[in-house]
Amino acid sequence: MNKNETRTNQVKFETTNKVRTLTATIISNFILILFSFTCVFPIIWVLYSSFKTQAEFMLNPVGLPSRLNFANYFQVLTQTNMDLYMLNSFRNTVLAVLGILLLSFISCYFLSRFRFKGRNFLYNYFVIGMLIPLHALLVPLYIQFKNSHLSNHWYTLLFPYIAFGLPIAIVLVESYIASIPRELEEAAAIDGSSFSRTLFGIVLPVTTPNSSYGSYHPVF
Amino acid sequence: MGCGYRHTYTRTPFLPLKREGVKLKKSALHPKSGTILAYMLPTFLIYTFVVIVPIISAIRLSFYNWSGGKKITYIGLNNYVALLKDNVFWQSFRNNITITVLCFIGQIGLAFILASFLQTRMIKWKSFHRIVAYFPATISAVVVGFVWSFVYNYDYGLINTVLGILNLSKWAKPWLDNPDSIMYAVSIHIIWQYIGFYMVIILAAMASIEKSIYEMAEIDGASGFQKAISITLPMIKNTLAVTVMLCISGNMKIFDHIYTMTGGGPGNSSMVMALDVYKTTFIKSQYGYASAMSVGILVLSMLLIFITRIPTMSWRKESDD
Repeated sequence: MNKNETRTNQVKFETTNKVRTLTATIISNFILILFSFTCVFPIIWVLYSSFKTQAEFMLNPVGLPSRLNFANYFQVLTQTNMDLYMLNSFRNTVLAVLGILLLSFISCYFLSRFRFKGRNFLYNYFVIGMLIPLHALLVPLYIQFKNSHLSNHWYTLLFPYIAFGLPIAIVLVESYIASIPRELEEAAAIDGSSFSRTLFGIVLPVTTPNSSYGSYHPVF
Repeated sequence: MGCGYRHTYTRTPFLPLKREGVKLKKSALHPKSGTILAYMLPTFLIYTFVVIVPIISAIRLSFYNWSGGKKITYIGLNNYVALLKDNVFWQSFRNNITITVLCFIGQIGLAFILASFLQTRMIKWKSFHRIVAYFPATISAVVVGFVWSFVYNYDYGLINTVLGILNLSKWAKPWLDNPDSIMYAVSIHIIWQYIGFYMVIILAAMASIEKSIYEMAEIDGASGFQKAISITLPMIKNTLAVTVMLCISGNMKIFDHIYTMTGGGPGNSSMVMALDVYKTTFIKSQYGYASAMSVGILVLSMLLIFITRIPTMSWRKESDD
């Protein structure tokens, strides 16, 4: 009798526990799916709204388009220079990301691996750039670029993109390089790899995922 | 300078590589200072030329009265005196603080909660969530501002349409025209955009915590909430310090979101410092005064970062001991 009671109690306990975990699973999954949905929905909304005509959009902003209507795209392609703009953005993005990636990686490697004189000063020197908005420096920047004949070229924008992208990349990549074990470079040195080869052939590939994350964030 | 957040870790010196029979180039591990200099120089030069020199010339310009022409007069500290009395500037500073606080709660707090969820075994499609959450951060801030101004639009915006479908039209509001709630409306889309950015950083830090610590805590009967507060939070506090710094610095110089969404309006109720400088520069053409404002932004941001750094200093001392 007593034994039976404990057993039923145990079964009850297990089932309530199971129910509890199940509800927790459902609720937490639901929250995350809701969150992910809100992350993409505004973009999807703009995407399918681009197939609507003006009247259709005014009538029902949320509904799906009645049919695929490419008129808006034709208009953009024929009446604006969108293709040129996209090409410019693409070129600037690719080159700026590569520049930030390479420059921030090299400086971060030295900043995090070696204790040279002025290291902390240099780190803080790079981080200052994070505190001032680019828009607040446009006038001095423009005057300076004009005086040094750097303005009005296809590569003009790359300099501010790279320089203003560096601080965030340096903060993120520096702490990541610090977490890479030194044994990696020691092993490479034992195998006879030179310094620059270790730097670009071994440490760079290890850091790339993190560096690229830090680099492309500020560019777009 | 109050901005040197970094992970604390022990610096083990490189091994003395003097084993017999192994010939090593010493320079492979310990490059000469000339090599270090040569590698660092390009970064240093570009950065100095594009960021530091304009800051210095902005400081110089801030002592002058100049509206773009040949006439440029030295007026000493008058720009700064005017800045201290400038209501619009201080209101925009308050707005920046509001955005920073809301983003601190909304971005880092929510990102931490969501990342903790993603660490548990219950969640399905983890990589899907991770990718999708980061998606908004990859879009240009200008595009995000425009998309969200469609979302908030009174006549055909997403929010009001959905409210209409749910028969709640009485709640529909001109979201971007109400000076009282405009800062919340504006903050929401900034939070929305960068939540994934912080989530990925926090997830990476969480991934480096050893699983055995959690297992021990589970044996001792810790709940998921207790694990998050007593284990995860202290273990990733260095990363959190970095995210706090990124949050402050990013929100003190927020520009594109506000510029595309409200342009600082209605009135000046959603004005932020960077936008104020931009308008002073390009609409009012007061270059000297705008430079003084930029210096003000720099000083205020540094001050804020320094204040938030005070609690983390004690952490660093602990980990040094």
